[in-house]
Amino acid sequence: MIVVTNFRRWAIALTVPAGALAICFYVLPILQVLALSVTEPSFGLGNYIALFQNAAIGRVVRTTLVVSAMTTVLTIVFSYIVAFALVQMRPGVRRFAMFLVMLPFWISVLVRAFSWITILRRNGVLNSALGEAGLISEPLELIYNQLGVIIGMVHYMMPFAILLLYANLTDIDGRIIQAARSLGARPFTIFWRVWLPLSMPGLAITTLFIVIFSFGFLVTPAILGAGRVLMIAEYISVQISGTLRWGVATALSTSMLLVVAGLVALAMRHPAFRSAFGGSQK
Amino acid sequence: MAFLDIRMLRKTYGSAVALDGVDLTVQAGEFVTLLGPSGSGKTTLLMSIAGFTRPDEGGIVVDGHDVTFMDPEDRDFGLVFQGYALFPHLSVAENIAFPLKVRKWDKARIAAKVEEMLRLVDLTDYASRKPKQLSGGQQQRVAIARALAYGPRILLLDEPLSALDRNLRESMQRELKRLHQETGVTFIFVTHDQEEAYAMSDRIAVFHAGRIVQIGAPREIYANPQSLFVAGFLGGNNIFKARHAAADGTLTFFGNACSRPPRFNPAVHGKEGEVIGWVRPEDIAVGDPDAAATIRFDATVVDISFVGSAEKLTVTTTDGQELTLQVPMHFAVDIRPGAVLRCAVKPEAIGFLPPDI
Repeated sequence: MIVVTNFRRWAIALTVPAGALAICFYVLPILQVLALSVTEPSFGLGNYIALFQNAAIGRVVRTTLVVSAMTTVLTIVFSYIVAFALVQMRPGVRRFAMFLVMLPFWISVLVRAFSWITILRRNGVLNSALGEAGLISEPLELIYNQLGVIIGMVHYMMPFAILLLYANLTDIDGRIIQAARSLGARPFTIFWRVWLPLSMPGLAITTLFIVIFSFGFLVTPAILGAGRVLMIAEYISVQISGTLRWGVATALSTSMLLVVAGLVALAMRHPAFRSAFGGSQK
Repeated sequence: MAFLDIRMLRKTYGSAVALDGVDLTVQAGEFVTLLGPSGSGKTTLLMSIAGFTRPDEGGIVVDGHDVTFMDPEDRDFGLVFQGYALFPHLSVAENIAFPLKVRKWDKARIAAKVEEMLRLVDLTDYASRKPKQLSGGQQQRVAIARALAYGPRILLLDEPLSALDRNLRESMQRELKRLHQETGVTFIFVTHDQEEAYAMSDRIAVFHAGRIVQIGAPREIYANPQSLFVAGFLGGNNIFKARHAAADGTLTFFGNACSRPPRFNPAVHGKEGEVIGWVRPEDIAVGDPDAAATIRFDATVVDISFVGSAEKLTVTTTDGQELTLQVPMHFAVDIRPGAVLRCAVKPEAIGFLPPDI
């Protein structure tokens, strides 16, 4: 049972202004907008039924799922490698490596997307370098397609994933690894039998994080896909500000919100997630 | 030739010297305890034997093979950690099977060995539990079973009992002693607890500032500390100052002069002037009437504290030295701080230490 002391009463009272602000200017407007999905243009579930009948929306959803899945897999693999290397580094080297990992956080997502264009386009840095080295005769199609979008998204997601995985890996007791060595296990065995199983909670949380984030990507796919790789967020944005089909846009938003909430709810049934999201409520 | 032969081992961390030229030989099947305060180098030595610490100088030879720079995974020693270090994602049986799987034993042989180890540490009913479902003592037994399963030549134990409460610790000590006898494996045990060292070891190596300052059987070390550090570290000892007058061959302490006690050797303990002596609390008798050979002195009670089996008295002698002594409970009933007691000690119970350590 929670004992309501004077201190607690004060603490709760202090959260009231921020809470009220959030409810008035964030929660209520969102509910208002989402309500449009059942009232615009006429009352009913018409917009939701349209989601399943509209071939264009089907394509957008498929694209989003494929791009998100690819982004998640690649981000997890690359980030795990980096995080694992970080754990093994000497403190001085690790500080420098950590700095490099954090660097992208200081650069706007817009700048990053345009930087990728200069690197990846037909006559960009990468293609000219490979061409001059004689490795390719025709420029590679690295951008304005799914590949370009995935490159940009993986680059955006990796620092988050690395930090999450690094935090998880540093939680693994070094003595357990030493114990495995003293029992005669070689590095490869230790990786598969000890590091990887003990990383599973961290990998699961990071995967969920990236999947949810990937669904909502707007700027990166818009710039690096140049309209050819249409994902849900950009589609919604076009419906809201371009074609003004607010009913469909909000129905799509609501569905996405429910899917993400469903994923989180499903994940929370696992104790590792509960402890990750709920703090230290052991 | 000794089974484990450690020569002139040195290890420094920056300017801190962890091991300062350690020599140690251990016979096969021996139970040797490395005893010392934290930071004295005992764990560094253990980790050097295990292969996790590379010494700067010196060498470690096991059974005629130099293992100084061999990787830990190639050494075939068992290692038991202070925090148990069990694999949290594996069951008790899987933890014990881990080193066997690594060694590519066939399934039937692994199953039989796991069964045998579980029986050895009395955990047969817990085979499928995960480590966190076990108590500290049970986890420790799993760690020991895991480290013994593949028949290591040496079992290294790094303060394995320090996290357990007193009763459990004592039963685990008996358990370790039994395992040592049943398996015949060489045990090297690190602890800072002298009672633990006394209870289990064949020999104890006392560590101080990166060196082994004394090594010997428990009773021998207890009876004959050879330096001020050992006499002080093996707790409860009374260390006092005496004045040696070479001219008439007397020692003056606790306010009276007596002829040299039998264990006093002027050549070792000091030819003239101040010398250092020690006496065990249990060797000081209070109000002892007999024996003409005893040294008698008066002491004033400063403090009385009950330690369970006896009353512990802190007293000051007439020359201002503080001593601890033990008296039976019934005896202490009338004693109050400030009371003056007549004490006696046999001359042969008094030991002396060389001055410069």
